[in-house]
Amino acid sequence: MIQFILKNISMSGLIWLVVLFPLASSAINFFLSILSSRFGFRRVSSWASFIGTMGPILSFISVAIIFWTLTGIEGSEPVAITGPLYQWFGFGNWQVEIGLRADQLSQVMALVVTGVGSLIHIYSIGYMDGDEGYARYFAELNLFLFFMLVLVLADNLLLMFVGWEGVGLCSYLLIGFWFNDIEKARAGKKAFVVNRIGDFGFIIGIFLIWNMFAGQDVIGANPFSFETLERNAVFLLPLATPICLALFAGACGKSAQIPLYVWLPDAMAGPTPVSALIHAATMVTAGVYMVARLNYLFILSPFAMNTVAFIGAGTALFAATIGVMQKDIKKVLAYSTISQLGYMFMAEGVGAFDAGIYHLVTHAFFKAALFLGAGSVIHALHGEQDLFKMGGLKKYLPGTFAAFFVAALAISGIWPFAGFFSKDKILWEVYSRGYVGLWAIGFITAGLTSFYMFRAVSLAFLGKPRMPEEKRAHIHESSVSMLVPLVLLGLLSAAGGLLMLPIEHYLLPRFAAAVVNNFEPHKNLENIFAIISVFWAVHWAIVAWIIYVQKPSWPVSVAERFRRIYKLIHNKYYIDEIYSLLIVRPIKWFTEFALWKGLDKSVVDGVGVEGSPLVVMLFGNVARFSQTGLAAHYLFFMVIGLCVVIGWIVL
Amino acid sequence: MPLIAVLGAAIIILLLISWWKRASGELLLIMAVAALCAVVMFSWNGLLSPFTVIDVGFPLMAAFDNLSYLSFIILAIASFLSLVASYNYVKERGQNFGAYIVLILFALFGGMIMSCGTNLIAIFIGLETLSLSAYALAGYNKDLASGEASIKYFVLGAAASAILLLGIAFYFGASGSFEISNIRLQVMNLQAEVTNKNIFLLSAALIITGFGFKTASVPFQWWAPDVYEGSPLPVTTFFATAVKAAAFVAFYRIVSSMIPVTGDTLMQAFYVIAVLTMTFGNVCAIYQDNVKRMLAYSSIAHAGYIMIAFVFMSRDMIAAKEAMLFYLLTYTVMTAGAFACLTMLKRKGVNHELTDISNLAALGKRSPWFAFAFSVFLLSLAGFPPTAGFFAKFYIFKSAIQNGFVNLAIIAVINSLISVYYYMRPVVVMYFGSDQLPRVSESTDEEFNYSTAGVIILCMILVLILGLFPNAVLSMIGM
Repeated sequence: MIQFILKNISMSGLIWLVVLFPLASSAINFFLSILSSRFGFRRVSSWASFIGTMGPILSFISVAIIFWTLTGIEGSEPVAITGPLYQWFGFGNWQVEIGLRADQLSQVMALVVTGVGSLIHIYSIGYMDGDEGYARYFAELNLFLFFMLVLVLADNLLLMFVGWEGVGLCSYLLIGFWFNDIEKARAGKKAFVVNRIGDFGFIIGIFLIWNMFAGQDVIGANPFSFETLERNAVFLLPLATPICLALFAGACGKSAQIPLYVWLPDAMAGPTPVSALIHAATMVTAGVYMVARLNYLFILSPFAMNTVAFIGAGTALFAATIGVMQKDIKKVLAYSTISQLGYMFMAEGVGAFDAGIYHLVTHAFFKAALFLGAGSVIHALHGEQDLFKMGGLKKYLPGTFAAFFVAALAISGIWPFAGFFSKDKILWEVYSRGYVGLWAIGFITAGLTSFYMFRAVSLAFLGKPRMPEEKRAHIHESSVSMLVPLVLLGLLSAAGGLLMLPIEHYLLPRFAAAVVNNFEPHKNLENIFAIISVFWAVHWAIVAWIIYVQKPSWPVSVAERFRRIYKLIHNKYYIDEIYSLLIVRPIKWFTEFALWKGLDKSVVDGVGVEGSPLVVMLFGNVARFSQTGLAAHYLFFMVIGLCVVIGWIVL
Repeated sequence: MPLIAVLGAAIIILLLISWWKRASGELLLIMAVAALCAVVMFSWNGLLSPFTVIDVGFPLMAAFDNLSYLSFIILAIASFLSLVASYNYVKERGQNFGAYIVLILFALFGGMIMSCGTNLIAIFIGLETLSLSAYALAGYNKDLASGEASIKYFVLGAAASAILLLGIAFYFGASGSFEISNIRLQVMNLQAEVTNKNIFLLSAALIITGFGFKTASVPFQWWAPDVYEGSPLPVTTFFATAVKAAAFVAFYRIVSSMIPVTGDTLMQAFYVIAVLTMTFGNVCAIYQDNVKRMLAYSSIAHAGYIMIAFVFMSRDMIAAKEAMLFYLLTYTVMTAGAFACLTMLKRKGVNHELTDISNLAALGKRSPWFAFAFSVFLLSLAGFPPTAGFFAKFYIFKSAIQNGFVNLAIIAVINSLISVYYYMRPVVVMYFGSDQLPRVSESTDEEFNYSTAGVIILCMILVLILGLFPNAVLSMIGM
């Protein structure tokens, strides 16, 4: 058996399997969901959950095997490229082939995606239990994983774009999973539309690259493959800034950065495991991954790099301030996600791609743990999401509390949890490369992060219970299938710091273009910074605990005193309203009055739709009356026709 | 060999039915089908063999190249489909099936002579063999409409033949030969003598008229709707597929030999003919309540699309040939399928054909598979992917654009948009009731019969294969 497998499965076959497992399980689950509408969902749900979780787990195992095999080969770079499966399309002498590529960066990403993804799938078994769309849920979740893996493992920019669009689609499906609720369906639509705006930037970037490559013979036949891009990045130099900015616009859409972050908080309308998988651990990191993947392009344009860094830092601070005021536990986590993504972009913007990716990894751990913990709380409270209606849950949900608490420590950057290493690394890189202003923003944000996370912890788990009496009796710890992934993720967020050096060393060859050696390593300074930032975080955590557990009256009085600022932040700086006023309404007005009433109704319908039948009818009547049915007439017409033809040709 | 197979089978069946009056229809059908299979097999062998036999000597005067072999195959398929579909049709009406088979086989023989002939006289003889059988077939139903169709076809056909013969005579006068392959040698001479060239062009015009009649192109299409409507359904199938295919192939051969002399002059004429033909066919088809007549007009429209291949023939001969053959093949299959579906529509004790659109009402509920098959054929005729019709149109239009006839392609696309309307109408009626027609149908009950159902299934498979794997067939044509 093992020999058979060893003989017949090659490395490239294995990489294909990584992608195909989720696709297969998704297809089976879609089939099951069709069956479930006929036989009732309870009959198929055990099959659906089994198949739905086996897909990601098998995929994870494949990635792990690939990882160990490739790192096991001494002395060679751990990169494997599958041959092209087939030529997707070609134009001129260029072609785009469907192929996958497992190098250091995509291996790390794929491990995170499939690993965290598998845990979340397992968690979903319990969380979605009893939902009518059980099979459909797993089908869409698996499909999402498939597209995410295509995005991560693609060996060319266009295939990556396919995955990029695919995750957007699945995100739309999953946010609007409970589409009977019009608000939730609308949130899905919003996410989709905002993402499309970013995707437009991505497409423009692709076109610009194509434009620059056109006419260069040395490019070879496969212009969009990452290898070609890396080798020939020099040709893009003249347009590097616009290309990178356009691509970064795409990344902003996917990774929820200013100004396109507005969809992410609304996306919390989906089931909580979906929020954990898509809007914390995987899809939103696609933008970060893309910038890291194309680091050799971004390096070419210092302006684009600075833009990335400043937008990242701005988003980090901005989202953190909103996070402080949110009442909904999932919204707090949503803004914290945006803020943490900002950190990653900040790191990439200053050239520390490895730090960005490392933070991506640890963030996947602790944010997934936080979301799943929040999901566990919501599940226990039967859908209650308001922090001010919780409290004292530590007693009822000890397991959830432990995992959530550890993850909160991790995200706040407290030693020795995972977030400390990655966040500190980012801050140090930013500082040591001379961006002191950005460092200050990051430092303040770190304090805010610690504050709002422990605000959430205090409100939800500590203090006195604030929920109604009758509800209190029903609170119960979640089932094993939910608790196990939660605890595992908690452990990972505790121990993720151990991965720092291996990951960074492993990734370094990918970012060879970005390595800068013009600064002196100040080991002592770095340590001092680390200690300061730990105290800073702990200080804010304690402040949050004091305010929200010991003196619950303080926040109210503070809010009273600074009512204006409070209102401003509480309403998320009115960004949604501003967008609506400036962008959505004018477009709506224009489409309704100018395009629909002005153009479509009068011109297209009036002249085109109703006019053309008239012309056809007229013509048809003439032709029909000539069809008299008399042979003599026909002969006559034929002779006329003959004369016309002769006249035409001969004369 | 394919020719001998057909001729032999025709003569044997003829002798058999004259001596043995009670020969069963099944036996004769099996013999005829065997002959057709032999044709396909021999042609297939010939297609695969690298040699091209050109025998310009007296008895044959024919070229056996891949154009001939492919058209043999198309003709054999068309004859096969109309023969098998007609088995029940003829039997129910108590007609003589033996004579029917013989006529079809003789017509097929004529068509094959036409498509492989290299001599205008041989082509003309083939054409007449085909036509005479066709006249008889048109009148095979002993009712008024059928007789009228036969007479009308005969009178107009005779006039067209006369014109064609006149054209051949002028051709001889201009070139000194009936050989169509000889002409290329005389190109030099002709360009020198203007008078000669004018005579040559005159002959071209006359020949276009003659073949325009056979292919039912505007302005020589007048007979087509009446004859198609009046003839028995399987015979209409045969007219719309085999007769048309043979005429187009022979036409192609003659025009391809003329092009070196005439240059672009013919192209303009074909341009106008193509545009007029497809527009006329499509526009008239819109008004028809009778599905059979509607399909007759649609057949005119499709002739117009095929004419596009003749327009760009002077630029790219090979592409024109490939596009034309592919179109003929797919058109044969889908039209035969659509007509076979109409043949299925009948009621107990009623012998006349039920081809009015109201008879289709609610067919989708009564026999869903049948309605589905009919819809597929109509969709294919309208040119929806992934059916065969889409790729047939696609290749013709693509080649037209590649050769610089963008306007023509746009006109053709607009035409196929118009055609969607009338092709979809039966579909709408089948699935959504009565289409506001005054007579809501007296219920029709489809009697299942295996021969027609077999034809429908076969056509369906072919339509889907041609639609899904067009490249395989195209590479075969391009061999």
